[in-house]
Amino acid sequence: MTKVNTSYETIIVGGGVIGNSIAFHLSERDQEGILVIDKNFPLSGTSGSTQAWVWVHNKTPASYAEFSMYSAELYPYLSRKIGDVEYKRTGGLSPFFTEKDLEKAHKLAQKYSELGIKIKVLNKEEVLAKEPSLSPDVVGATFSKVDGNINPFRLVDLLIRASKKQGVAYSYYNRVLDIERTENAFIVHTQKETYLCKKLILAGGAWSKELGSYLGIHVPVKQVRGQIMVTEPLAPLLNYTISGMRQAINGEVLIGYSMEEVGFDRRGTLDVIQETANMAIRYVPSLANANVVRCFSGIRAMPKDGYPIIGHVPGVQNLYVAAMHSGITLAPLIGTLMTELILDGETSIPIDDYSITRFQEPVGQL
Amino acid sequence: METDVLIIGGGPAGLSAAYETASRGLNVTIIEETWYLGGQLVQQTQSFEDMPNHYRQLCGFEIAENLIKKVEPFGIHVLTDHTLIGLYENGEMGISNDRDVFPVKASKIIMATGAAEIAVPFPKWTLPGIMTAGAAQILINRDRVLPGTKTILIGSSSFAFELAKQLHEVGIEVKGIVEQQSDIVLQNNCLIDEIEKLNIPILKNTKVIEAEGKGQVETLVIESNQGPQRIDVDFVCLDGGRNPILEAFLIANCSLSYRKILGGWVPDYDLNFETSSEGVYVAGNSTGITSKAAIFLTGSLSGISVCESLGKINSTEASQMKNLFWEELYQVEQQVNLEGWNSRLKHIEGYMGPNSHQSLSGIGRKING
Repeated sequence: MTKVNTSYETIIVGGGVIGNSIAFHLSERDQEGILVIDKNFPLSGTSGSTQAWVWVHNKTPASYAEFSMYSAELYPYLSRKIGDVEYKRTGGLSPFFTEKDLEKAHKLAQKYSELGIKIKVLNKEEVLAKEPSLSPDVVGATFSKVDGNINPFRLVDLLIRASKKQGVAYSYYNRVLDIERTENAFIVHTQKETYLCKKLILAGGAWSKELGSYLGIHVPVKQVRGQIMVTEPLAPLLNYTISGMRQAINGEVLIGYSMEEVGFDRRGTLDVIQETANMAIRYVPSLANANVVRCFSGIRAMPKDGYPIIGHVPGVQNLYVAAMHSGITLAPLIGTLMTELILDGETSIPIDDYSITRFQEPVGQL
Repeated sequence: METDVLIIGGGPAGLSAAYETASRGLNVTIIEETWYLGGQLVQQTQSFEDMPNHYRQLCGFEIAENLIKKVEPFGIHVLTDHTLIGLYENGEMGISNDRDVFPVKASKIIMATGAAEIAVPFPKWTLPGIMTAGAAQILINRDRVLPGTKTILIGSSSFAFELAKQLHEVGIEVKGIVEQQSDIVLQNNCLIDEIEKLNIPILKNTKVIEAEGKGQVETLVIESNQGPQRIDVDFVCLDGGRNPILEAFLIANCSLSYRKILGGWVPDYDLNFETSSEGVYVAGNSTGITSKAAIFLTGSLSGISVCESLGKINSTEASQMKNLFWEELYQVEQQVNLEGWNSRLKHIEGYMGPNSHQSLSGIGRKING
C-alpha cells in the first residue's frame, strides 16, 4: 500500500558509493531533508562487487586523469572525516609487454606532464626492481605514485553512518517505480511510499537509464559485467596496485580484467575466470601456485562514451544526474562538486565536459 | 567428458540417486570432493530412528557400505577428490581435481551437496581445540584420533547426545552438555536417560561466555543463574545445527528460498526435484534438512525423475515409484518431524504454486486436513 506525499528537500535515488558520497557532502553543509532511496541494500550492487582501485594514471584524455587525480587527493581528507576507509596510496603500475607500448607510454607521460600529473615510464630493470614478482617478459611499465585502493565496504558503510549522523534518511528495498514532475517538485513513486521532493538526484549507476526514462530523459549508460577472482591469503607479493590486480591487506590477491556486455546477468562463467587466471599468471608467474578461494562478478555502469555523466539536467529545474564507471575513484570529488553545484550554483572545477548535453550534440571537448 | 547423469556429491543422497539411474542403464558420473564415497555416514557409528525402514537396524557406516555395494555392479564413473568449481558459458560443468579443470557435458545433473554444520561463535571461539561436533566425530571414528581428553558440548540436539556417548566410550571425559534454553527437545528421550546414567551433566539455562587459553583452548567460561563457572577442557564441541550447502546451486544459477525449518536458504524445486535451472536436480540435505530418511528418499526420487525425463522409465511406472517413496517419507516424518514435512510441501508450493503437491496420492491432503 502506498502512503502519500512525505516531503523532502532532496531525494537521491541510488545508495551506492556515488549516491552516498553526494548525501554525505550535501548533509555536511547542513542541508536538511535528504532521503536516499535504494531498490536493494547498500553494497548489494556495483559498489560491493568492485576491485576498488583509486586509479588515475593511463586514463585518457589527460584532463580526465586530472579529474580523477583531484578525487584521489580528496581521499585522505574524506577518511579523516568519516573514518578509516583503508585508503592505501600504494602507487600504481601498468606493465606492458611490447616495444610499441613503450612508445605510447612515453607519449602519455608527456601529455600528463603538461597538466602536472607525474607518471614515470620505467624500463624492464626498473619495473622488476620495484615489483620483483612481475614476469621477466615485461618490457616496461608506467608508474604513478597517486594510484591506490580502498576498502569499498568500509567506504560505503562509513559514508552512510556519517550521513545518518548528519540527518540523512534512508529507505532500502524500495524500488522507484515512476517519477512525475509538477511545476516545482518531483513526485517519486516507490514500492513503499510516494514522496515529494524539490530536488532530485539520479545516482542509479548501471540502472540510470531506467531512472531517466521515467522523466523522459535519455541517460546513455549501459551495463558491463566484470568477473573477479580472489586467491587465498598469500605472503606479501605485490608492492603496488597493478592494472588488473591488487593484494588486499589480508593477503588475498584480487584479479580481474574482464568486461562483458551481458545486461544485468550477474553469473560467473569459467571461460572468463580461466582467461583471467591465465592473464594473471602472464603478469605474475608465481600466482600459478595460488589457490583461488572464490570468484564474484559485478554489474558496472558504462556511459556511452566511457566518461562520467554529471551535473544539472538542462531543461528540468532541480534535476541532477551522476552516473559513471569509476565510482570508487571519483566518489569524493563527485560528492563535493555536486554539493557545490546544488547549493552554490557553480563548481570549483569545471564539469561542463561531463554534462549530459554532450549526447544530444556532436561530441565536444572530450 | 560426457555423461548422461552427473551427480555432485557421493554421500547417501548421491548414491541413492546413482542407484536409481545407473541401474536403469544410464551412464552415471559421481563427483566427490573427499577421497571416499559414503559422505557423513562413514564416521557415524550410531543408528538412526528416522531412517527408511530397511536401514533402521544398521549404523551409519554399515549403511554406507551397503549403498556402495548396491551401486557397484553398474559401473558408475566415480571421480573422488574432484569438485565442481564453475559453469562454462555453453552449460558444461567445470570440474577440478585441484590441478586441472575440465568440462563435463551432462544431460542431467543431480546436486547432492549435503549440509554443513553451523559453528556458533562466541568470544575467542577461534582458539585451536574448538570444533564442530561433526569434526570431533570424524576425528574419533574415521581418523581414529582422539581430539583431546576432556571436553564440553555446546548445543543439545540428538546428535550432541549421541556424540557425548561416543566420546565417553572412547575414554574422553565429557564435562557437560550446555543448553541455553530451559528445555531439551529430542525425538528420543531415552538419550537423556542414557546420558544421565553416564553422569554427564546436562546444563540447561546456561550460556557460553568465552573461551580462554594460550595457543589452544584450556578453559570454557559458562554462566547459569548460579553464576559463572570455569570448565577445564582441552577441546570443545559446537552443535549449532546445519545449513544446506549451496555453492553448487549458486554456480548453476538456481533460485533459492528461505525456509528456517528446512535449514535456511534452500534451492527451489518442483515435485520431481528439478530446480529452477532446467536439467539440474537436487537431492538429500540440500533439499532441506528434515530427517535421515529424506536424504535417501529424495535421492531416489530425483533419480527416478531423471530416468523418466531421459525415457528410461515410463511415466506410469515413474509415478507409482515416486508415490511409494513419498509415502515412505511421510510415514517416517509424521512420527519424527511433521513440521519438516509440512515445510517441505510449503517450499514446493512456494515454487510451483498452491496445492501443487495434491498429486502425491493424497498425502498432501492428509496433512492439510
